[in-house]
Amino acid sequence: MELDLSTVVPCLSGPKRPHDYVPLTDMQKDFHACLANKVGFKGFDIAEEKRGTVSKFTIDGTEHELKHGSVVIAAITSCTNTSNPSVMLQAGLLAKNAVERGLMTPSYMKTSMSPGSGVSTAYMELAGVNTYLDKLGFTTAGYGCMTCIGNSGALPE
Amino acid sequence: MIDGLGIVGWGVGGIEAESVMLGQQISMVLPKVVGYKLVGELPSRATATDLVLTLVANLRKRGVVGQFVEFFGSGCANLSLTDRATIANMSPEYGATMGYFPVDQQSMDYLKLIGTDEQRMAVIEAYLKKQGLYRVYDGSQ
Repeated sequence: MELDLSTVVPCLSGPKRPHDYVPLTDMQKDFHACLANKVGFKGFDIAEEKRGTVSKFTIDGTEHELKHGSVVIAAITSCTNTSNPSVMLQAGLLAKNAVERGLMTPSYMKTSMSPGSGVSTAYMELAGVNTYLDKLGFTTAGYGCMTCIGNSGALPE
Repeated sequence: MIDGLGIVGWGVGGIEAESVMLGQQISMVLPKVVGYKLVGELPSRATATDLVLTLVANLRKRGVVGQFVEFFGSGCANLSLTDRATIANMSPEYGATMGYFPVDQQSMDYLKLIGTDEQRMAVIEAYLKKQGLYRVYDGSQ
């Protein structure tokens, strides 16, 4: 097996398994295809007329819309990836730029940060990026296995 | 994760761990080793996470369940120890028993960074070189 590292592009995996590779540039197309596909690793079998369904709800006095693809959990988690200083500092810098441009996470989104160990917190504090992550709701909730193994806790009713 | 630092280690089941704690031996069939050659350098916009997800997809396609994966080739020299640890730690995602990176100069730099004393480092380097386990990526090996 061989891989030329220079060919690696930003990517995600899913919607259900870590090896269902999707390049970031194909994510939108892949997501819409998954809505339509029959139930399986790459499908949810949502009827065509229901794919655009929008539900309105109110939380903390603000009205929001929920539809297929809405992000309700955003977690900086997985001990493997949170132990990598370069990806963590990139998350911190992204948070800094977002806060400085006045962007905010929606109030219905459950945000959390659960690194593999306290070392991550130490260097995030040293780099001065943890305050920006806190502002966006990515406050350290604890260390070890959490959202990435399904332990996100309940979502608002 | 430890396999990123050139140390051979893998997870065992509860019953095997219990046996060892009680002084019993466990035996296993030597797993097949699959080599994965890495060349080139990561583009600046790609993260270790992008790399590991790419490797996971490729290795799942190949099928490496129950096998050892050893990364080799000049591209390894361009991966930091933390990036190697990310790849090694995601071996359950690609199904392998472990994902191993041999020790090289980067590994020694890491040992220095974490405060390993010089004499100990000299012993580690000399031992690995004698055993043929120390990797140099200049084409001489």
